Amino acid sequence: MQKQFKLMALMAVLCMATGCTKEGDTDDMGITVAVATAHTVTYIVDGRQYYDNPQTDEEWNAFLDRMAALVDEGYAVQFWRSGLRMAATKEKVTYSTENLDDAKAWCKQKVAEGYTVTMVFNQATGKYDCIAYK
Amino acid sequence: MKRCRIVLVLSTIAVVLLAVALCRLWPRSEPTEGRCEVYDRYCGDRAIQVSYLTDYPVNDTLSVAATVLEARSYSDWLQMLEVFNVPKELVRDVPSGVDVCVWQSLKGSPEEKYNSVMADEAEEAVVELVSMSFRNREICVFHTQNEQEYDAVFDKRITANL
Repeated sequence: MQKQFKLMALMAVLCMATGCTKEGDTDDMGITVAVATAHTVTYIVDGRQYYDNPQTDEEWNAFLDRMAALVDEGYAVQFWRSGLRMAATKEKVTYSTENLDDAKAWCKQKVAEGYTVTMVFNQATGKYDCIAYK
Repeated sequence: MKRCRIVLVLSTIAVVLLAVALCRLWPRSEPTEGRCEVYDRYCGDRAIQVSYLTDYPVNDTLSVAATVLEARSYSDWLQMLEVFNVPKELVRDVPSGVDVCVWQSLKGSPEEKYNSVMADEAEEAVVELVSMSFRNREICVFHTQNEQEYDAVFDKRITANL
């Protein structure tokens, strides 16, 4: 309970100190941040920008734990949800390989994850191009 | 005599037209063993020709039951793509050689992709493989009974573009 309260307080302080990110704000790299789809988080530690993609409550809590630990160690931390870049990646993912069995295994895994999948042979590269869509 | 011949010719034409109409309107084959949910749902749809195949050949030793949905026209096909939630990115890639694609769904719901990795009841769920062909304007739902059939059908359909 104490830890949860600490995290909530941390988020509130960070939000007030840095200004809560709203749709249309730009981050340090000049990229417009859009609070669009869920999951993707952008975070800045000591001036360097990173991305994470917590999908479940457990992963989100683990991410918050890591942020709290960084603050405890004295780092300056900012984080916000920024789904736009990852949303494009989630729409279509690709995999290329010369090995047909590897290609089929990748496709099968993506089908199990709920993707619509296709595979074509790329004459130019001699590889099997696997494409998964969501 | 001439009148009789005309009547005969017209009668023959009428019979032929009637036979063609019946063939197009009547389902190619009706499920003989039980009813198929997907078949029942689409058999009355004028935009789709529905067939239930009890022995769709997968390889030399295996065949599975399948329901085939064929769009009757290009506009019907576009509507099917909407109904089956085909990703727009995929449709854009069709001109570059993509024809056949596959996904999995829960039994009876080929319109929705099923994520068995994230699902809580994945072990109890009955999953079917769905395959789509842009060239043939058809969607085929394979009613696989076990993992062996699923793998064999997957192997066949995922390599269809090669």
